[in-house]
Amino acid sequence: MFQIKKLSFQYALSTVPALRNVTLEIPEESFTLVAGLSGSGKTTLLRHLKKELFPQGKREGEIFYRGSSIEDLKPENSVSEIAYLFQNPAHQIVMDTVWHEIAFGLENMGMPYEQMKRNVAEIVNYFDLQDIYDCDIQKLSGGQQQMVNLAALMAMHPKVLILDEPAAQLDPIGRKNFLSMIEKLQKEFQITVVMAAHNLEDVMEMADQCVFMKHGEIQTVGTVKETISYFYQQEDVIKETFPQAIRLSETFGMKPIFSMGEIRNVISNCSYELVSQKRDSGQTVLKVSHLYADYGKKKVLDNLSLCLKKQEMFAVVGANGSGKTTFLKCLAGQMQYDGKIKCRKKMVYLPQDPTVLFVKDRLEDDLQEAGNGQEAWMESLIDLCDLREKLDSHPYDLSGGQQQMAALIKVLLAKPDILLLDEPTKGLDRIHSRKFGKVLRKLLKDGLSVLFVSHDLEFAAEFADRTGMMFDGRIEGIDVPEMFFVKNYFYTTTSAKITRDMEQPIILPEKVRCL
Amino acid sequence: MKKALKRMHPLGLLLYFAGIFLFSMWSRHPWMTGVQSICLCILYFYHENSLRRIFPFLGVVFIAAITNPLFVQRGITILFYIGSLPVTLEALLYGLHYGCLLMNVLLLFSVFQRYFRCEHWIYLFGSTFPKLGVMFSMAVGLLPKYKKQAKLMIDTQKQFGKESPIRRAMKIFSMETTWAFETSMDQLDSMNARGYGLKKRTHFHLFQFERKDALCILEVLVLCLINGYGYIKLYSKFYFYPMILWNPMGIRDVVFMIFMAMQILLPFFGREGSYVSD
Repeated sequence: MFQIKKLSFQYALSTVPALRNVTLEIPEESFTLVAGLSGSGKTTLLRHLKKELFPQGKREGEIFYRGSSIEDLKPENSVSEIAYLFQNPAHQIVMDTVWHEIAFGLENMGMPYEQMKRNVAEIVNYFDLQDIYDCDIQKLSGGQQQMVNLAALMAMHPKVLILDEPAAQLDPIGRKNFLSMIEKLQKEFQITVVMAAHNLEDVMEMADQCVFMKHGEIQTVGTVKETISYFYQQEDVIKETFPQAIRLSETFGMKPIFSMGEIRNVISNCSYELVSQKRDSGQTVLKVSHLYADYGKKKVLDNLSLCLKKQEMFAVVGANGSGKTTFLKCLAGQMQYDGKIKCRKKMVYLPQDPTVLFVKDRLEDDLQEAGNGQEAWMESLIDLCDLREKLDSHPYDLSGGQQQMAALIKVLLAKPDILLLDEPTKGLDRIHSRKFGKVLRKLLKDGLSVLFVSHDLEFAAEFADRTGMMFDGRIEGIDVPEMFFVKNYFYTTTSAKITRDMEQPIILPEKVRCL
Repeated sequence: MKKALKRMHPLGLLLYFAGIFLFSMWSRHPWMTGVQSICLCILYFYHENSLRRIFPFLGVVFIAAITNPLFVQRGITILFYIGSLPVTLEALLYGLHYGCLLMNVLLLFSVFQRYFRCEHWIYLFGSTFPKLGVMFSMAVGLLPKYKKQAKLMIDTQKQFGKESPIRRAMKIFSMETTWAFETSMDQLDSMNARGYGLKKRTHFHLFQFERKDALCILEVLVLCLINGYGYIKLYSKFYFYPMILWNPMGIRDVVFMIFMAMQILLPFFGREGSYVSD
């Protein structure tokens, strides 16, 4: 479908090339996964597959689409045959209602009304969007929005689907739905799919071809098994982003296996020990008792009680709309509630979207404004968060992980004793989310307490001291992660599912050592 | 009735509301204004089901009725004096009439905006001005998005100590502009990627023009003509000053008043039985 020959690219205002000598073939009707850390050039590569989205800058090399140069492709063919889905579901929406968004591309192509009506009806049925067809699109959840965006693209009957980290912003359920829809579309309509992803869980086994990128170059290309074996032989941080099943099989010295049953068999014949971190709990710093909150008639929090200890990291996990964010908003005093919140310490709330914190056009000015009079503390935080090189950039030009770090520094400069985090790892790759987690653990030693809500079970399992599940307005099953994820049957990590009922269940591949 | 209006074609809907709007705005005769007030109240209460909601509208009438005699001293029937200021019956009635007229227009708009949404406008003008239609739709989508973001920013900034409201507002404004520019990049790309501006746009909508719509438009037009004739011939002039001359109400007046009522209550005469019971 695509042939890329010796493509190099450098952004107009940049000094380092974003792509270096990339040669790649994408076969027809295949699923190609483009993996790599943030900033490795995945998006830049994908944008070169659609000529409307070519980035501005210096370009060398050639790109062929179906045998002829992509730049010679007729605009109307390029628009309808090559569909491109962006990462953020809300930002790429153009129209106000679901039906109008789906019809937008068709309107642009000047399709006659009757045919349009039929196309839209078909697509709405196929994607099962009847219930939200009339809805205001901004009121939908991220998962629904991304599904509508996909439907809008599919309405134009594309031959290629280019997806730029489409599921990074979605919750686990929305993510699963979205991925299974992609799989279904590819099988039923023989669409060529090119997908960039940094979280490879559930995605990797779908791919026919894996492309791993690093610093704008292709590191390795091949089938899933080939690329994994390639990385088995060397040390590379990218291995942290592999699915848990693969990480487990590497730990136990197996060939890459996706099948949970096989891994289970091997593990049950191995001897291993669990690595657990030491925990010391201090006195209670935050006591919530009998908390009630609601949106109009809909009750959200219902008799919720919780204690947070000093130097503790508490994770609240749970589905979308279970009231996790509402809980944090109550604690931060941004919402009305009934009940008692007993806390003498200072709490600061870091919302999901770190960009709401950035005031200035330069990161350094931005931090300086918040950190007036505590320069030493600020400098040490900058080093801790590894942002020294980025002080000159615009906060919006930072990667997701760096933005999160910068936001963390900003809230820490307000000298909180308790930090409230809302989905701190949303949209981050695992390398960055682990880095974020490690920074938090270091800060705990200085007397900070952290309460965070998240969908990210891996993150909670690795870094939290205690974990609870939000359900029906309360936090249930509070326990240390080792127990929480083992006792849970459905809502738990892949590793815990694999090693269920064994003598020593494993909750994460990182938390085990082979003997 | 609700269904009749909901199902009506945008063109019919626009004509229906525009007709009533013109007649109630230009109404000069108390009989006509009275009929309109009664009918529009019926229309309004059909949707609201709450007596309390009418108070703001009555307030408008009341204010107009008492302020007019304070500023206008024309008219010969003096009721009483406030200080040395004569309050006349004519000025009071004129204010009352004017207040009713204002109330009519307000009531009409509150019903109008229940039925006439942005997609109706886009449908009516989208084919003539295709780009305007897109811009309108985008603006409608963007406003709640920006509002939500501004709220988030304000809430977050409030945590970091006190500031003067003006300073904070300026800060939020500048943050919001940056954010809006930044996020609109994706939107622009998404529009280009889906071929915006490539060809002449067609327009997708959910409406269908059917025989019943043609009939409905015809009804509206005929009623407009009849009432327009009545207005020009009989009801375009009414003198409050210096004194009110009441002509006795004749058969002819009753007929025209019925026509006016029919024009406003038209959706109640839905032909299909299911229209009325919803």
